[in-house]
Amino acid sequence: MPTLLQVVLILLGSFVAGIFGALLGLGGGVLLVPMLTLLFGFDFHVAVGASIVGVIATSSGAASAYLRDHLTNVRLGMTLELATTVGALVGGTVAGYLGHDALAVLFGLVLVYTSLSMARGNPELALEEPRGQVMVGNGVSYNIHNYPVGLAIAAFAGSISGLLGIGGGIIKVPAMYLLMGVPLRIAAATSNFMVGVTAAASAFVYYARGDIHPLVAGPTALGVYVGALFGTRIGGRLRNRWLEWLFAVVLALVAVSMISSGLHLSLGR
Amino acid sequence: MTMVQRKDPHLDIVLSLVLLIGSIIGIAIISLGLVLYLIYHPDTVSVVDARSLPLSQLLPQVRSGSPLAILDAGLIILMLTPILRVVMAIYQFWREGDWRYTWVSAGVLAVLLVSLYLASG
Repeated sequence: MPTLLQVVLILLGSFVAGIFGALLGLGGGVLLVPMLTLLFGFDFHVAVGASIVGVIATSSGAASAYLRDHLTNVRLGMTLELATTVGALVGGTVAGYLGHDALAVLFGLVLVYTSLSMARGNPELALEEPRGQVMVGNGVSYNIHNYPVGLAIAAFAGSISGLLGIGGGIIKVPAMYLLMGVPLRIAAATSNFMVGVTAAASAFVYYARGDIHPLVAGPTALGVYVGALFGTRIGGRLRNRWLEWLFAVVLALVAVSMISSGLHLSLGR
Repeated sequence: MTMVQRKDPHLDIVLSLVLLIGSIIGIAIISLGLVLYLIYHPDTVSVVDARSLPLSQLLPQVRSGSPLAILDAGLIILMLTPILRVVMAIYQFWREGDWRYTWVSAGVLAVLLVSLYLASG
């Protein structure tokens, strides 16, 4: 039963990726793509196609919860989505012209950045910190600066999402918080809100190209969706610095592995 | 530019429900298609051998009960969920008379429709 076994392993792996994604405040794509390429040996396009569907699933679930808690700035989200969707459409199209190796190197570079963010403490986990800084649900007033810069970074995050099948929150949240003056919890919720629409813009490009393989994308989406729900439950809403450091190291090692495989370096073998 | 994040509970709840219901239906249909596929095609050699159906063939194949088509339909429903959310946002902004964001949301929908058009053509 090779197919059944493969499907079950993808389900389990994605479930675990969903749990850790929720605990670490990562969308899941950053964990799914390395799993599908390095552990299962799928081509990068197959892995990214599956990851994009998985990212839509987890972000829909999470964004729904943040909307219910009135943490999302829908108007800001929709504005920046003008840029993220165009970026994703371009990124998803360009990915079709890039080979496995080039995508592996690009993904490795994003992993280096993600690893450094983890080591410093992922700002997206601000969502899990106690309320108080922001009056939720009473109408929050704050000045949003630097719209042009925000839109440019949103377009960049969207193109990375379309190219590599990740949500891109790790780029958008710091941009909204540090450059645009959006409170951290709202920036994280609003980023999550944008991820699904952004991924949808490139998902259909991948589907049309035949890069969404149903027996890979199906179990990936199912596993990561349930895993993220589970991870949110057991997370205890606490920031775990040990876990962040652990994943900073793991992601750095995965980055080295991806970049060296893309560049065909033999790493002392 | 000053932006007041208005208390807009109705908008939040409507969009929240669209995302929740869409993703649950998509995931449920994916699960159904997956189980049916594994029951009827246990002899597939590798998971990458199963290819998604072109959008034009999807509906007839779903009607004939093809497990792969059901699985594909679940994936498509999941992929359409965020687009439906944008449609609902347009409707809500329009109802509130918030023209600026009605147009912003319509712009986002336009980009998504371009993507859909490219995918179907």
